[in-house]
Amino acid sequence: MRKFNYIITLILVLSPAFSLQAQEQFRPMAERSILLKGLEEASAATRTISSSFIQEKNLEVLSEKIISRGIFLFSRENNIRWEYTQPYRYLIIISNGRMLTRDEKNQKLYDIESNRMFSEMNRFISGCIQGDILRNEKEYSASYFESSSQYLVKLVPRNEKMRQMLNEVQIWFDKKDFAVASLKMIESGQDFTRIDFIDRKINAEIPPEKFSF
Amino acid sequence: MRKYLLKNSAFNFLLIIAMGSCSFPLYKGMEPAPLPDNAGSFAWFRADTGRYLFRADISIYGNELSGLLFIKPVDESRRVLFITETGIKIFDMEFTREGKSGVVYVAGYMNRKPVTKTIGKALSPMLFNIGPEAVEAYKDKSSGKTIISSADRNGKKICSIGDLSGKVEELVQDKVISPEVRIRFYSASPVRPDSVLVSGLHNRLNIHLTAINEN
Repeated sequence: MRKFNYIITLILVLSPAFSLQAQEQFRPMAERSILLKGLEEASAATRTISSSFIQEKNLEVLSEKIISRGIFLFSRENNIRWEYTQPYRYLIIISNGRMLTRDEKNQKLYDIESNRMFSEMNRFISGCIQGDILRNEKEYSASYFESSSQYLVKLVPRNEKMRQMLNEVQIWFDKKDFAVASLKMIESGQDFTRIDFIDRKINAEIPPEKFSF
Repeated sequence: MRKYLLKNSAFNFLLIIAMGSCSFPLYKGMEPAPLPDNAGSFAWFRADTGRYLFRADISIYGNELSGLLFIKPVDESRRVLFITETGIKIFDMEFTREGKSGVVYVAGYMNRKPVTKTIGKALSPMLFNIGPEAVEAYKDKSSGKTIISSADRNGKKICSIGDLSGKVEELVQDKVISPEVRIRFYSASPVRPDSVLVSGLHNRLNIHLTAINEN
């Protein structure tokens, strides 16, 4: 019964966020230069991004979903703050080559450059958020699609080892401001993580303390 | 040759003494008792229950990881997935009642046999507290607590049953040639453990789970 209530609540809460994309009809993009140019201009004009997010971890084999929510902040250059508020509080700050994680009990500080996994993760996240990842043709092969309101880019890692971990990355960009609306990371075995950015604000003032340790 | 045999027998004698002195603390002051009819219900994560989500801190071979641990009983087996907060899957493993564990997926940097074997040995008794072999009951003379002894392929499992929850409170699994696993379950209700601590295995692995309230 508890599980049933949980699923119903999730459907009710998430339906507004997902209904838009469910209705979208995507077709292959004829001219991708519009997106690439738009992203370049938007990226140059973007100082900060603040947004709420809903993260859905879909465990395909078990037909289960884990939903997390929180606040995402980005500030040039490469300052990122993921603040998870549900189902529990957890904070990740990436700034000046270091990464801090904090929960209710513990706080840990990592040197990103000394840890290959964190380094790759940081490069990947900021690449997705700023759209730089689309220019990385050496590591990803890209296919481009569009609907009336969004662009969709599907990226497949060229490296086989990387593909064992990540089959495909899908990024939805809003046509209005070229900001990332959603991000989907499909793993091997078809499990995926989808992050929807909602209530996005571009260039809103973000206190520097938000990225300090 | 004689010298070698003498040396060897001395070593064997010392080994027997050492093994004899390594008795389980839970055995001290125990007396045999009839096996309760509901002994199966003492275990956590039973097949007839739903899925479980925990906040997890895992320290393995000196590497510290944190994230979410997802447990789902699937028929007679248990599936365990560990993912980071950002959704990156670290491992996906399957466990059977006999104490076997299989890797469905493990992230590249952890994909080493000693690592997955250690995780398997730690999580197996946590998921299957009792059985399937040699299930016997004891009574702790001083506390009056029920003790259930059983075994699987990883060794003998000794469980202490909590008076209030009616569930396993403490579990020790040991085998002569394997390091010991100690598991402590904390809970105010018999529905699910609020917190679980797994330690032992020569300090190669420590797990701290805290239940997440999804309501």
